[in-house]
Amino acid sequence: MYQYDELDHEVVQNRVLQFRHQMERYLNGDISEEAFLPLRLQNGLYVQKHAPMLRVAVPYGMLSSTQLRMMAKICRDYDRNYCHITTRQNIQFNWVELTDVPDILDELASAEMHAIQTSGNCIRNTTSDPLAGVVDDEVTDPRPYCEIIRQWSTLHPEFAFLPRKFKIAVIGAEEDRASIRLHDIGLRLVRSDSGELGFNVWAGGGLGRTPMLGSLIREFLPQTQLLGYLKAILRVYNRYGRRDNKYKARIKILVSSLGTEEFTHQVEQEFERNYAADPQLSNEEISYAQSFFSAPDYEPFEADSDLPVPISAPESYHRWIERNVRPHKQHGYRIVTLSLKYFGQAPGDITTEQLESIAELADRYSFGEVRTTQQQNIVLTDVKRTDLFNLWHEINRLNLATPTVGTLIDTVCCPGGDFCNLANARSLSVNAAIQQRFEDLDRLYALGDLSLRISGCINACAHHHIANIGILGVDKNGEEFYQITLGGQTGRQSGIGKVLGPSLPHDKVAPAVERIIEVYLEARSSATETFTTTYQRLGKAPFKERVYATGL
Amino acid sequence: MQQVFKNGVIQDDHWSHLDAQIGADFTPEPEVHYILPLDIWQGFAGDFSGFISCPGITISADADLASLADAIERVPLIAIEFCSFTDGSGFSTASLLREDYKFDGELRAMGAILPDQVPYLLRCGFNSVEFPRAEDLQHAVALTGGAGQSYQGDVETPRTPFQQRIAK
Repeated sequence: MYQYDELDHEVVQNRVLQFRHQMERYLNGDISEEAFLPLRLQNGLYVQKHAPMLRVAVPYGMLSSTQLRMMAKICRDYDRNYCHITTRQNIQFNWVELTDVPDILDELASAEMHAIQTSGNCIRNTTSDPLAGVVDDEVTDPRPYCEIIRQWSTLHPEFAFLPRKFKIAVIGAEEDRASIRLHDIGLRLVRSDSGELGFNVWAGGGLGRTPMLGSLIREFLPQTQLLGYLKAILRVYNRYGRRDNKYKARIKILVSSLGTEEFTHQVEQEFERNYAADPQLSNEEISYAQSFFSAPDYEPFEADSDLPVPISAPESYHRWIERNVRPHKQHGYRIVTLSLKYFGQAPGDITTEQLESIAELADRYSFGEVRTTQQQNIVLTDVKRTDLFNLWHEINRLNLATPTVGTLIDTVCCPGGDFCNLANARSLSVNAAIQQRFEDLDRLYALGDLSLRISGCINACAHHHIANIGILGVDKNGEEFYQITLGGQTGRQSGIGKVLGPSLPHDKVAPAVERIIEVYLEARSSATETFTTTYQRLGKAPFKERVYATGL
Repeated sequence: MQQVFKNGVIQDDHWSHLDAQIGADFTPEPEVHYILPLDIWQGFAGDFSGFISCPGITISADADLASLADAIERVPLIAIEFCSFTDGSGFSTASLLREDYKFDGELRAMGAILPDQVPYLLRCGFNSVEFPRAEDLQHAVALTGGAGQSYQGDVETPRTPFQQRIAK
């Protein structure tokens, strides 16, 4: 993975020092609350319901075991012994003290980490495929490009005060595990007919109040022109994006109001203008970035037949293999998902002890690295298949082996009204109620892959629009209500779910999900017909009818 | 005399804003270098014979530069007025003036700006910044002193992140 050099260290350390001074001036009253707001946000610091929240960047979801141990240290020394993996692969600390933040940032810097631009109206952490580099269906590894974008976007002087937040995602695989079309800019690595590497460029995607899929604005952007093109998009947005209304300020609104064609025209015009003046990425630079992401020292295995299963292996091991372990491009290796969806626990929450143990397991079984995922789990990308049984034993003890990855209860969920100032409603308690109804694993497996996402407000941090079943907390005269959307999807295809009907009170949500599942099970043409296919075939009527029938 | 942060130091400002609407009998004071709001500047239709130098202009952060090409070519100073420190459109406007219009006069930031934004302003091509409060000027100096290295360089000498580092 990427290693900081002198420049990286200098940039991050200067930033910490700068923030330390800003904090001092704020506490002395030399900076107003209003002026301090964007400054602290750009350093990842929110003021939440109970305490300040610090969001730490995990660039494209990669963490070393050293960095995991640093997360554990911060949990122990500054927080309440746990933290939270976000839907954008970052890590949040929910209980830090305001005045401790400069010290925490210092600690992060010592582990080559920071909280720069993890919130505020600026270019956020670049996200990517959590399986980058280890899957078969990849044109090339997207991570070197993510790192180049990370550096380019970090403290870019022109784009620190944009109309609204700005998110970029990059993938190199056929399957889209990063939901690129839901980002302000989505990039997919492709090869041209002549074999040259470049990108499909999508712009104007986003969720929130007005969910939209990004539009393809460039069929093929040669890789050396990447940064010039990003600059052109950002510049058009920074000059012409709306600033009069927070809810109309994302680039998606600019793209849709200008129309894709006109927006593209303006970007291309701006790009052409700076093309000659700005330096391009050189092939040497790209190779240099790639050198940090070369394959680890895999043991050679000739064949990849399944291992004889240990006689002592219980049923739960087989379930785990089925749901939480994926094929790897390298013979003899597997990709293992450590589930952070233990019954009764908030999705994505992880304790000090778990972090330290995962660091140790990563060192022993997976070359000392892990990835965080958009599904709020953690992945060990390079586990020898001969180690699987031992690994399973160990993570079982840590409650990280819930064999439910990809199922209905692999829920993505924001912290909701229990923690977040913005939320209209609680999300964790809704999730707990649904989990309870689907505790029976046989019943759960019969459903196959099915996604459930729960957002506590319209900011849509849990990305409920792209779930097969999405739940959104809304406020109705001071009471918590929930709107259900059905039919969203991400992966091979992207789609935005449609609202089922009037919102429901808190206690009716889990029974409603149960009824939706009933309709699906009754109506699907075979055990392999996905929820979305069934939904598209039937339309929403039978689901709506059942959910709103009496007796809910 | 009003002070301004310019070329890295606090110094006397040799320019004066003329903000009030002016009548037909307006006579420029001798030895005053004026900065005029754009519409007033345009009202002179290019005839600045009574002035000791061509006045500078004030434009809004989101001004349409294409329609100002003639003025940009002529003025010695462009002041970009920020309406709010959270509205960063002026950073792009300044960069465009330097990059695309090759404007090489004084580029000044004014209005709602935080001293903490000065290092970014300088990298986008501004070379002077106005602050009404003396302590903000002091802060600006302190903040630019230790600004250090960056990944992007600045508008004068832009670079890609690894360009110089792999040569080492």
